Amino acid sequence: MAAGGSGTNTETDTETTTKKRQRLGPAIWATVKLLPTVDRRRTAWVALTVVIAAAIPSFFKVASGALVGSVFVAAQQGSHSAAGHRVVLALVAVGVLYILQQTVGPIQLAVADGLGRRVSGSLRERAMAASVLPPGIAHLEDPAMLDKVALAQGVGTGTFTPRMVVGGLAGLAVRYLSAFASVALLWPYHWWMALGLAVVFTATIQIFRQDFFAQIQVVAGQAQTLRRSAYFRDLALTPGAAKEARVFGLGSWVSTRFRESWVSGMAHVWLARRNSWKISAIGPLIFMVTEFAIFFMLGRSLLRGEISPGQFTVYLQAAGGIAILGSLSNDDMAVQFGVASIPPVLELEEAVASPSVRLSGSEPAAGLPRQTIRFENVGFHYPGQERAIYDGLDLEIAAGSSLAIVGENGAGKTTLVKLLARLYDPTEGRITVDGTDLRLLDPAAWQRRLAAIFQDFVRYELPARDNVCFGAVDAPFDEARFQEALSRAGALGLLDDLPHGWDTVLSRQFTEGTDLSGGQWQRLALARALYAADAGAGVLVLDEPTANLDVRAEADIYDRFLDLTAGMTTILISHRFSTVRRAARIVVLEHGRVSEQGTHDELLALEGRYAHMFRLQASRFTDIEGGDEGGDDGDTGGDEAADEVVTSA
Amino acid sequence: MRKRVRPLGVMLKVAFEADPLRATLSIVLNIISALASVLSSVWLRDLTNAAVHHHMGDVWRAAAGEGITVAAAVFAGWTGFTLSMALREKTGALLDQRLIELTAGIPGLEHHERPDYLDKIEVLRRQRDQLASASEAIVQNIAVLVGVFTTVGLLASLHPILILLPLFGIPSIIAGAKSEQLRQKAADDTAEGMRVTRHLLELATTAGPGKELRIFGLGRHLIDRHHQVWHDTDLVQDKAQVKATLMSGSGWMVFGLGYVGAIALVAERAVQGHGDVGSVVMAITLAAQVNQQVAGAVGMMTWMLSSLKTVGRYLWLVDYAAEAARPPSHPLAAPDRMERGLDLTDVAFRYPGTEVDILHDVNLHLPAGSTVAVVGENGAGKSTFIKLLCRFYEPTSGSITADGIALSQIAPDEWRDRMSAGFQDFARLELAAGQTVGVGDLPYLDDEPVVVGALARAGADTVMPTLPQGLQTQLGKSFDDGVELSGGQWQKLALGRAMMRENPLLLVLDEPTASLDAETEYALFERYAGAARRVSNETGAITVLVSHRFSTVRMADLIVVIDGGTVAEAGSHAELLARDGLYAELFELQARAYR
Repeated sequence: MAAGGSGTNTETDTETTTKKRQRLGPAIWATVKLLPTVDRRRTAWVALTVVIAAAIPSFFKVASGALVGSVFVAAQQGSHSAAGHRVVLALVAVGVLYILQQTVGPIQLAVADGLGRRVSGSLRERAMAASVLPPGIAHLEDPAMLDKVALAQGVGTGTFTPRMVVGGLAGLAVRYLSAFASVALLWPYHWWMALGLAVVFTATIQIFRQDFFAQIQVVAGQAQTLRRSAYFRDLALTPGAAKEARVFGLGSWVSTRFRESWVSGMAHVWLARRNSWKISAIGPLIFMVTEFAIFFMLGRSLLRGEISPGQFTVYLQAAGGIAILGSLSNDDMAVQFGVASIPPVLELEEAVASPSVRLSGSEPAAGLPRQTIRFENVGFHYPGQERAIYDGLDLEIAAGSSLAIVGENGAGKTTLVKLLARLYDPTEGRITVDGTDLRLLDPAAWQRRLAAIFQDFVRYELPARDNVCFGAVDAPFDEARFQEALSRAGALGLLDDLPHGWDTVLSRQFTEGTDLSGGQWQRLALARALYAADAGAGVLVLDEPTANLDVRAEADIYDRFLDLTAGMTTILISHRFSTVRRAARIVVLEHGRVSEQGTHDELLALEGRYAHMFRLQASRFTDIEGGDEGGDDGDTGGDEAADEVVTSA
Repeated sequence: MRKRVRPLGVMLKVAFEADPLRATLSIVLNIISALASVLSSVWLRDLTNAAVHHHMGDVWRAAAGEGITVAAAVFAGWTGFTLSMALREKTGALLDQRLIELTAGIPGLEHHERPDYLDKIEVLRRQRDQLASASEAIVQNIAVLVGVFTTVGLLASLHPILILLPLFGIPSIIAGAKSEQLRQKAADDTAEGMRVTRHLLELATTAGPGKELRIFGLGRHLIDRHHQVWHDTDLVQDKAQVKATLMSGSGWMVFGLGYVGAIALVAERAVQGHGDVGSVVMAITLAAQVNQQVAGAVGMMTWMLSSLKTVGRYLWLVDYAAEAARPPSHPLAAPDRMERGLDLTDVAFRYPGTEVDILHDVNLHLPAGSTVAVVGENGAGKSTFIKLLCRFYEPTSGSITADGIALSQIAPDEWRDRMSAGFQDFARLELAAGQTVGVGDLPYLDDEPVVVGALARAGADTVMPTLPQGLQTQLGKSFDDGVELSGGQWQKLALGRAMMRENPLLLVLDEPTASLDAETEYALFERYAGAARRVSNETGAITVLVSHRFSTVRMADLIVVIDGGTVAEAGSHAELLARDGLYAELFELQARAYR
């Protein structure tokens, strides 16, 4: 327990343990059962080395007993007596066993570590598979399920990894087996003494153990307050708030707030710990009596000639061997706080087997859509939420043509894409592709028909090339297609900032890696979607594809919008009318339904919501001479628009 | 030598400052622990000899001695543990506070932006636990050394030559240190692989990327990739483990020989009648401890040295902060009100540690009481220009003056007291909503009318009704009771913060409305510009706005176009359109979409 300095790191893990108190026993058993399924050969090796490492100390005790015994006799009978020869033999045995004891330990650790790493890898992959392989996404967004995912994630992100748990379990096995062997050694002296010592040491450490873990739990119980102090600390140490902290002169304020919240959190901890000295007093008393009894009884037996000096040495060491039951090590910590992360992975696997996540359907989706995608009277609300996103939504998307969706934030623009991509099934009504209910199609095959760039597109901290080719990971890499996608997304210029060309890892956390600006990332994400489209995906989804680009880049994209989307079924979501107006058809979503639809010109002529929003923005630019009047005009409208944006995520 | 001693001294001092009583007790208890195991083997010798020689009184005494020794050891161990836990907590908090004061006390931004400094501080932040444990390691080292010397002394009392026994431990200690290095190297070599696997795991198990991963069918690929990378790191670590185990095993063989030799010597003497059986028993237990102790000392030393690496980073920060926070030699006061304005004369700037000028030959007059818009394409140098005005950096050459007073002669704190700012990468301060805004002017932190007024000026009054406890609502997902806001809402609160100081000399708005739409930005800026014109009579305040939106930009009194690190054009909207330069081109690009 002494070294390691893992003190404060345990906060988050112990917190999870407190929140969901897993029974230790079943979790350990589940973990042990898991080992052979991960690597049978290594599990066998771990078992073997554990047994050897636990057995050798007992042999050493016997050998050193023999040595003392024969020295005692030889001292009386002379070095050339039979006892004198036994001294030499015993010496050799002691030496060999000592070296074995010292070398088997590291071997046992190394073997257990090898198994532990494989268990970690396997559990992480199972957690990944359970999260990412189901076609539906409900389990990642539904608060009830999210808990399970977060717990399962612990196998990869926790302080105590499964690797450490396996190491810890092996360490504990060595401890208990060797203590058991010591009980057996002491048994012939007084069986009740052997058992009694085992009980006393186990019971005493239990008191300390509980107290010790309770002290850690107290800290975890104050996690909220302490998290506040950690928040203030990171505010000062990380760059996020650096500019404002300087402009507003927040330095000493932050420091004071850190101190205050830390002290108020720790005050509870100190209060709860006030009584722990009592345990520190009781424990030593028990140990004192026990140790006195062992020494006294064995000493008296030797004095009375009931046992030989050799036996005396064996029994004394055996008593010491049983005393390791009264110790606590990092192994206990690793098992106590780490093992709880393992069952959630298995539970998550069961949970995602539910139909809302697995999603049914087996018909092929190749070549779809050829005519139309239709939303027919679709109703939808997210699992566990009351609010209906759609209520009787009807919408038609013509294959091979472009459709722009506009509407306030919260109107359900992104959700529409989620339903289209079958990340969820509608709660009412249906979506059809060329007349086939989407639920009948193989969900994974249909998802492959889509190419998308989302508002919250992913920044893969991997080589730049992968960021594009992930659009069609199953297709063989195609240099021409790669270059074409980059060029169409306006991303070829990125090469100047990439020290190792397209193989540069896009994260500063890697040697020779580099980070990109928001606009550069967005171009890559766009290239990824275009790469996917070129590799055969038939439906292109563009969700705010230019939000991070500057004036020239945005203008460039909307100038080429028709070219980029030619022949593709395209769905565009954007606040920017400059792009929206290029779409073949535009729909306005309001209150869970389509409120207006038509071409840009048709909607302007309609003088409805779309026309209002467009004219508001246009007035700033078209009226070049008298901008100020345009400004006054837009004032009230501006506030309306502000409310729309407020709900954006 | 001083270089080695300074970290030790600093860390020990921190522990004593954090809690002098616990620090002292911790040293005492650790020494008791270390001595107890040595003392036990003495009692064992006495017990054996007493029993063999039939001295019942000595049996009693040895048993009692052992009982008390064990009790003391257990007491020292348990209490010491609780004690060092508390000490570590307190030392850690004290060091955290120092770190906060150091980083926040540096007026510039270099340490938050320059990649190598950023890395140093981030490593320091993540490994700061090691700082507190460094003091602990130092204390334990003292105790372990006391234990080693006592053991060797006792062995030497059996036979002087046994003083050499620790020498046999040297190979195993070197092997132990070497194998630890091997493992560490393997960990370092696989660190990037582990980072990749962590990234892949997080991608696969979080909701945001879930949409894209499914559409592109990436799930299986990510798992396979994780498997491959993990497997590769496994092989590297396996190899290191095998080597390390072999190495430490052979080291133990050498010590094993020394150990057998030592016992043989003592046994031989006992057989010859020069020593007693008790000494043999003591030698068996004590000699086994020697190596453990020496190895423990080495382990502690390695632990301490690795902690001291972190301490080295800490001391770097201490020195850097002392250097960077040095005030101007003859500080001048900031002007009460701006009469003429800000002047930039031949300003050039390059980031420390880089080779390229980001800004050069900047000559500009920003008149008092004006609103100035700064435009330019990405990477043109707009943000750097803003940073110089905020004095996050000092110009590499040239000067910035306010009414003729060089900014560099005004203490940074003083200058910042007279300015306010909102940024595109604004901070999402997870405090009570009122305080998130109120920190913009600390004296009015909890002054509700002032905060409400600032919110109104920022057009952020619409955010309040959505918060369950109004200004008292805890914000942010770091806290269980925290309410998470949308990007637009956060931005409005940040704007409110920028509006807290009512009469600054300089207000900087660096794309503070990027997550709001064009309409909102326009309305806000118009409202603000109106207010600014009114108060500019009082203080001559200058408002500098960076925006991509020409609908907003055109309202400014002066528009500055930055291109290629210098001022390409400057003038009013009408003047710049007439010039038909870069401004006219960019304006036309945006305007075109609406015709």
